[in-house]
Amino acid sequence: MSKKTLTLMSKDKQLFNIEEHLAVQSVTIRNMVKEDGASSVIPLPRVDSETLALVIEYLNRQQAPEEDEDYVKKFVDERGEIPTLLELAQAALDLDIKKLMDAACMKVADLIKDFTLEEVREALRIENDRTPEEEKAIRDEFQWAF
Amino acid sequence: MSTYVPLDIQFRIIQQRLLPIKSLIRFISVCKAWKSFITSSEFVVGYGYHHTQPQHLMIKYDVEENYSEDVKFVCFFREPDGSSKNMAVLWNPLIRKSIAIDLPPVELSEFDFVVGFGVCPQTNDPKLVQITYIYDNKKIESISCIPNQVMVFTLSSGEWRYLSSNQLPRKSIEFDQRCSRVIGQFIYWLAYDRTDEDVQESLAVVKFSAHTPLEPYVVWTMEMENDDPKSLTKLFSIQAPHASINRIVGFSNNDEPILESLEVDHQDSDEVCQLVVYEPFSGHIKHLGVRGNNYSFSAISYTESLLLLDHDDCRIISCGDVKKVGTILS
Repeated sequence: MSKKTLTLMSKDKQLFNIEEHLAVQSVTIRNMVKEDGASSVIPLPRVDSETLALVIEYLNRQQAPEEDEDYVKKFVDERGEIPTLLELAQAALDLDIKKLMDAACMKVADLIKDFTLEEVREALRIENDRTPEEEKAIRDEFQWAF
Repeated sequence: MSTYVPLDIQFRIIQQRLLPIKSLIRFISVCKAWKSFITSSEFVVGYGYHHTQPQHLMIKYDVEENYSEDVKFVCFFREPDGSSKNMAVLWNPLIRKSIAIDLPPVELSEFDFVVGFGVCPQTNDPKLVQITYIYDNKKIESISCIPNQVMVFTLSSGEWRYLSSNQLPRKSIEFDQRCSRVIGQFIYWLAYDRTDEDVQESLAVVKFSAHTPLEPYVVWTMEMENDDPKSLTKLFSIQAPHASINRIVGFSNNDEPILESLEVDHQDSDEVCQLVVYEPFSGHIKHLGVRGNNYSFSAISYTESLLLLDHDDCRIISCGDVKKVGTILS
C-alpha cells in the first residue's frame, strides 16, 4: 500500500506534495484532514513558495522533527537571515508547527538583541509611532539602557 | 515578502527568554505597542524568576570624604529607629525603579521585629514577612501572647495579612535581622532561644559569645532535597590570625567569603576598613581595594528580573488600617 500524499498550494500557486503522515505534524493540516479528508489541494494563501519549500524540507527531513530539539535549532541556524526567519515563523504560526515557530522567533531575538532601535524597526518593519518629544521622554526615563 | 510583521510574531520574538533585560528596556522605545507589551504585568511576571537568571551582589558602605558621610548605595529596609513609621523599600537595581511599603506599626518599647523579603519562585510575586517578637527579656512572662506575630505582604494584593498558624515561633525566640537568607521559597533567620530549657527540641542556635572562640566565623551550608531543607553541614571556619575581621559581608560567585577587615594604614597609622576575599583552602586574604568606615559594609544579593517595571516609580503603599501589634497583644 502506497503512502497517502497531500498537495499544498503556496500563495503564488505553486504545488508541493508531501506524505500525509509527515504533513499532519502541522496541527492546522491535521485538523483539515480530520474534517474533510483533504483529498483536494490545500491552499496556503499567506505562505510564499520559497517559505513553503523550507517548511516541507523541515517536515520531510526526518521522522518527527518536532520532537528533536537539536534538529529544530540546527534547521533555523542554517537559515540565519532575519527576513527568511520571519517568513518561516509566520508560516509555522499559520500551520501551527509550534517548535519551528518558537525556534525561528528565538533565533530572531538572538540576532536583534544588540540592535539599535532603528535597526530593530528596520528588521521587523515597524513604524516609529512616537514624536521626537515622546521618544526623548522615554529615553530620559531609561537613559542607562541606551 | 509581506510588508509588515504581525504583532503576534513580534511579541513572540520579544517573549523569548534569552533577551537580556537591558535590551528589553531599550526596546520599550521601538513603538507604543512594544511598550504596552513589555511593561504589562503579565510580561513582567512571566519573564521569570528562575535559577538561570544571573545573580549579582551589591555592596553598601560608607566613606568619609571632607568630613561628610556619603552612603554609596540604597538598602532594601529602613532600619527600625524608634520612629512611629517604618518602611521597606523594594528596589530593582536592574531597572532603576523602587517602591516603598509601610510596615505594620509595632509598639517598640516592648516589641522588636524582623523583616524578610523574597520573591516566590512559583508566582513571581514579591513578598515581605514581618515577625514581631517580645524585645524585653523581663516581660516575656508578663505578656500574655503565646506565639510571635507574623504578617505577610504580597505585592500582587498590596495588603498585609496575619499568618494564622499553630506553628508560629514561640515567644522566647529572638531573631537576628542581619542574618536572614532566602533559599528557594523560604526565608530563614538566625534565631536564638532565650530560655535554657528544651533547647534540644528547638531549631534555634546558642548565641555567639564574643570572648571564647579563636575561630569566630564558621560557614555552614544547607543541603536541599526537592526544595526542602535537609541538613546543615559545616563547610569551613575562617582562620585569619593576622587580620581583624569585623564581619562576613557576603559570598562571591565562587562561594568565597567576602569580609570586612579592619587594618592599620602604615602611612598615617589610622585604622581603615577594607573589603577582602578569604580563600578557604589556602587561608589567603585578597584585598578588593574598597575602603570604608568601620562596620559600614553590607551586601545584598539580587537576581535579574523585570519586577516593578509595571509600577510607578517611588510609589508608597500604605498599610491601611492594620492595628498596632502591641495594642492587640497587651
